[in-house]
Amino acid sequence: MEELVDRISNLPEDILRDNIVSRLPLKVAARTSVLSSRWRSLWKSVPDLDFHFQIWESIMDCDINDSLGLVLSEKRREFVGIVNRIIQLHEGLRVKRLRVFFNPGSVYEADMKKWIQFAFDKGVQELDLNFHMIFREQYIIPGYMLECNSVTRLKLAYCRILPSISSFKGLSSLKSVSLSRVRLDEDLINSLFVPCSCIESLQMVECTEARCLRIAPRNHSFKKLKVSNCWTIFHIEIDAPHLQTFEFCGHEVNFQINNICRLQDAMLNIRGPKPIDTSSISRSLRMLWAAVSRVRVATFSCSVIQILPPTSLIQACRHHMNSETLPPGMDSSQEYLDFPSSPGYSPRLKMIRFDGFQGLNCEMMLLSSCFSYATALESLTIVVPQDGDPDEVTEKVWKLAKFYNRPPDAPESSYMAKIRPRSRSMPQPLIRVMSYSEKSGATHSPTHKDIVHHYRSAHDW
Amino acid sequence: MVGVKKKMVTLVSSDGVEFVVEKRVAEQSLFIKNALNEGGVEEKVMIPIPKVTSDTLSSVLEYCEKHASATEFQENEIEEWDKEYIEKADLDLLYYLLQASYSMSIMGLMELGAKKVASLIRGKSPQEIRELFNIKNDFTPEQEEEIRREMQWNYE
Repeated sequence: MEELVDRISNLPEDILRDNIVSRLPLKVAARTSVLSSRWRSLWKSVPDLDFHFQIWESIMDCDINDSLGLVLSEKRREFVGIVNRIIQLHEGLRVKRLRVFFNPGSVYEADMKKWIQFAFDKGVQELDLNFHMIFREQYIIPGYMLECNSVTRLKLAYCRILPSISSFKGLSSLKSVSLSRVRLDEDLINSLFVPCSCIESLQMVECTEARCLRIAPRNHSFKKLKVSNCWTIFHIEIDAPHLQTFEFCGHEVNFQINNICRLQDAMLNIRGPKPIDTSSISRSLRMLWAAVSRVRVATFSCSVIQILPPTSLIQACRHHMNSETLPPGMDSSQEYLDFPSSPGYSPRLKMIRFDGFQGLNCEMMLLSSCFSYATALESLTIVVPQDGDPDEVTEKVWKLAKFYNRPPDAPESSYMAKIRPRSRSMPQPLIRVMSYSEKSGATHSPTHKDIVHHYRSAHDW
Repeated sequence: MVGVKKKMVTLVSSDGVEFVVEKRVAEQSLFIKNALNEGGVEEKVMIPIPKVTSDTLSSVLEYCEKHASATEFQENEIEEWDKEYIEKADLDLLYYLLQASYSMSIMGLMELGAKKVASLIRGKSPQEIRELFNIKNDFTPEQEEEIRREMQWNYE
């Protein structure tokens, strides 16, 4: 019989171990050791130790007649057993990433410490620890866990960092920090993470306790700041001349932005409960908006701006216009026109996306200013919310786009006349109007031409 | 080379077939990029690609062509294309693509191929994996017993 050629085992180790076996969940990877002598020890030196969902999923559910507490403690015991076994068998010289989804409590504290020490000894670069566990108290991070100078990426979730940790300096190589549901105060953020000399990115999602966030990194590498749904924060101060990406999602906070001259993309998603004091909201929003736009006019090398004007922005906008409900004729005051013109002349703005766009007048004003001032605009994406009317929005957007390709002497309404029309030499941006449900679909993305064609046939223009 | 003309390079497969491609396409391979930088572009336009046959090279270049012309706004499309591209490769081609992407230093292609192989391994028994890739079980019964003991935690 003809000898068949092995179509996998002769691949270089770099591919077979680091790219194929490493890609498998640890338990599946371990089973490849039975294939042949070539595979015998491959899995034992994978650089990625992921003790996450797959391990949990592999643990069989116990008898449903047992109480939940018993089931959990049995599952936890098994989890610890599996991780201990893998750690024991591991022969690799280095560990690149350690990911653990486990709250050791006091029972397995020693085991957890062993796993982490193991990874530290092998120069781990990515440390991803999630302490979420039902029926467990919030885990308080012990100091040793944050004492590894090889770690460049740190992810923590569902835990608390006590202020007593702040004094030590154990994370000298840290580049990226991601905190999710972590309880820590503002001083810790500034003493633990921001001073790291290589820090590039800080992400905070649903963190609590911190009230004021003052980000003023002295190093030149700090490029990305993301703050999302941190409800205790009410004041954000940024003085980061090298910041390139700023994403904010949450309720209205007081922004004080001093120096963001290298900002390339910004995402603002402001939402939350109805504002009590509309004037202060309007003020903070305007300040942020102005900071972004001022910089954009001067030295903004802007490739992507994601502006998300949700209800509160519209409310602030309305407030600013000194009118609760906008008249359909839009006979506006001077102030009314002031708001949308604030983005200023943006010769580098290339991409805009509006989420939750309902076609309200103030939103149309914002859009007008984009058409008029963003001279290099290449792509405009409008996502209509679930309760919105995509057809209506499409029609409105099309009318506006149509207007801006017209000679300036034939305005369609008075308010449009006050906006500087685009010159005819400007490139037409690709316009997409999508309904919320189709947000991810690349299939439904009508171009400007599509919209024109659609309405030409439908409305007999 | 004349200014308006696209810069071309010639790649020679291990079985002697010449492929004339744009420089920017060939440079998807770090191996070629470095070779071009070292030799100076003008003189060294003929680059031998050892151990890569013409069949494999033509498929590799199809990948490079697509990725060299993709823009940042086409991420979804590229992903779709990648999926189809690797889907239609049979196991032999997949193996040669992985070898070639490694020797030519095309990281994207290597990851794409490795992902595909990993997905083929998942959910299969050791015997099924052996049969699929023609892996010869070369263990003695004693060794098998030893591994079974070592792996006990993994089968409980």
